[in-house]
Amino acid sequence: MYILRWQVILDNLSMLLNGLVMGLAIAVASIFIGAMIGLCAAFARTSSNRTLNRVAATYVDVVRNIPLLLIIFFVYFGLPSLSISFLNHIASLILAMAIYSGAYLTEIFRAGILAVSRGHLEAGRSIGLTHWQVVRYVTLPLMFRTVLPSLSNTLISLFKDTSLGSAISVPELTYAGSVLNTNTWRIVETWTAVGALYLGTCYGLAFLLRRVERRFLVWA
Amino acid sequence: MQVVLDNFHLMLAGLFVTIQLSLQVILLGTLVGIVGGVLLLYGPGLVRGLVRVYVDIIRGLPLLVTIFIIFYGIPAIGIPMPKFTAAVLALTFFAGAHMTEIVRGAIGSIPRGQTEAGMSIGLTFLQRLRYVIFPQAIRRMVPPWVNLSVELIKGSSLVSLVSITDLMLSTQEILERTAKPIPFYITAGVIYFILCYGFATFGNRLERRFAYYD
Amino acid sequence: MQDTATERRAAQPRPEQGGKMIVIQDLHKWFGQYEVLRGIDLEVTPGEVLVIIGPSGSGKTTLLRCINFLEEYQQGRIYIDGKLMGYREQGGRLVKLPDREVSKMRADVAMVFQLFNLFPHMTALENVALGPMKVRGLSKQAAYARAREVLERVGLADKVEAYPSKLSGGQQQRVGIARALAMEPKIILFDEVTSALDPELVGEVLAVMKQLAQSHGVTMLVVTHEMLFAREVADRIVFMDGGKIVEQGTPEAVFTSPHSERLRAFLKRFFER
Repeated sequence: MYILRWQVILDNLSMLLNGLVMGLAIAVASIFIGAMIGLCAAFARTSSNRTLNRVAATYVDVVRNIPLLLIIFFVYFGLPSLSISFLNHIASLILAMAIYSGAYLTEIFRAGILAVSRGHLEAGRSIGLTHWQVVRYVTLPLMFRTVLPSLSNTLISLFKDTSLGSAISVPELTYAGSVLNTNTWRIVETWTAVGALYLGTCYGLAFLLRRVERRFLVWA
Repeated sequence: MQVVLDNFHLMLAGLFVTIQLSLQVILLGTLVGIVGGVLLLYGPGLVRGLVRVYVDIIRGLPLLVTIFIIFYGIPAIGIPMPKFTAAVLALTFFAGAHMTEIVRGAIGSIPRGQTEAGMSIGLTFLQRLRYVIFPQAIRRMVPPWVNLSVELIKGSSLVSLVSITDLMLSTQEILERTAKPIPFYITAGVIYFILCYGFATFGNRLERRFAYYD
Repeated sequence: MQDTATERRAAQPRPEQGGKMIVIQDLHKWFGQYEVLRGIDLEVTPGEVLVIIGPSGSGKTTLLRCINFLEEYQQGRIYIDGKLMGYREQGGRLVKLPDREVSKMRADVAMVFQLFNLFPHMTALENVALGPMKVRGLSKQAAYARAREVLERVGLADKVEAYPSKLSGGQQQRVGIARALAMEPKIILFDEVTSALDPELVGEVLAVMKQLAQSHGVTMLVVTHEMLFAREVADRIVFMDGGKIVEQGTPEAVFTSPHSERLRAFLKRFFER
């Protein structure tokens, strides 16, 4: 008979919570870097330069059709064999997730760029702004509005994806759960707690982000 | 490279497992999703609540955690289950929840006027679902279904972390022996790409077939 | 034009409810707190062409939708050819009938919608044949034959294999009328069927409806803003406002000598344009 003993969870709650915070931090770092990649690739995709366009399109198509786990393993196990070994496991995870999310963010940003109506762009040019000034003062702010909900969803997805870090011993929430499980063999309690923490964080994030969206969109 | 070709048969074995797993999960997940979606829209209150809870929980969990819960949890409460079955079960849980949302969205997007037109000629509820609603909904389901299926093919790689020898694990095992990661990762990447991109292309063709009346 | 089964059936008076096709007694309906139908009493004889007019929000569409139970009602009674619609009486209270029973009754009360509501994934022929096949139980051959016949009657013999996306608004609405006719119903409800059409397409639909009305067959209830059509075609005009029937009578009576102030104001707004 399996008797539930929740005390074990409470005793180790700090370990789980540390994992949770680590997961959030990694997700934020990844989306940051990924957004930079994605923004560049999105502009490449909407530019008239055929080579740039095709390179970006290839990046997106390839990365979106291979598992994130493969990218993580490639970065962590594969790069050192090419003498790129300054990345520890956390950095590897962040880089891998940045590459992965970058592909999805490219499409999100591309939709945002295309959604900025020509009227606004022409207005910008007509008051004398250069191409890059138009990008900076017209396209980007207007695009921000369109992409904000998608960005929120991506962040939440990335947070869930940090669970793959447990495969390379990154001390995020799932790894903490595995460790706890191995130490205490309290399988049901451990994974219920880990699951509850993920649920709480994801829905909590969703709630907070929606609030943020509404604040930002006031001036829309 | 030669070393890849020497070990390719092992990767093929892993690929076979990946394909088997993915196909079963896509099929089962679709069935679960159709039932779930219809229940969510038309079922009695209690059933709707249960389905809603199921969907909301799975969607808030990482796939890996769902796999761990089913994989380690089921034996823990005393039910013996072969590894592959547990993996199929876990992935189907995940697929079913997402598919339920897809079905719900597709059926919910059919304008109410269609239901009313069906009612006005005396069709019963099941007849309306079968002849009016579902044929229109299925067309709207195809793109998100294709996306979900591609996610499932990629997600199947996670079973390598619970010692099921799929394409990913067999690649890892080869690496540990040959210490030449790059060519094998690239090969695995190419294989996954062919699987996913191929499925997506098939899906596009399917969508065009369902759009015959535009 | 040959007498269809509908016309033959409609020509015989029913013994229940004094031979009336539709009997509505003290009908009340609420949408939440808002009372949209405030005590409607109405009787329609078989084969009658009844046109309902009134300002928007008067409840005329809601009344129509209660008759074929697309909307539930909370108080009062609606009898279709002697049978209570949508409910059964249990100790003086209304108990909702199961979907199967309601569907059976709905087969005899066809409706033509303002937004057509054709099934986009079926050709015109399939749209019209679906009801006869699946509800009336006709074989595929017989259903398709009937569908062709009815589509020809509304002037669309050459469009039977077309999908709704390839048809104009007027053509789609005529398919909608055909779909209703193919069921050989006792009653056809027309819910502002020309309001969504471009002006030049309205005429073809009204022509079909006029033909139907003049054949003195099926009972027709028409909610419309087309006053000239109403005047020409109606046996009786019902004016609704604020959820009640304010005035009713023959077209001559209603249009040339309206009694109530509200009706006079309503007609004035219409004929001033």
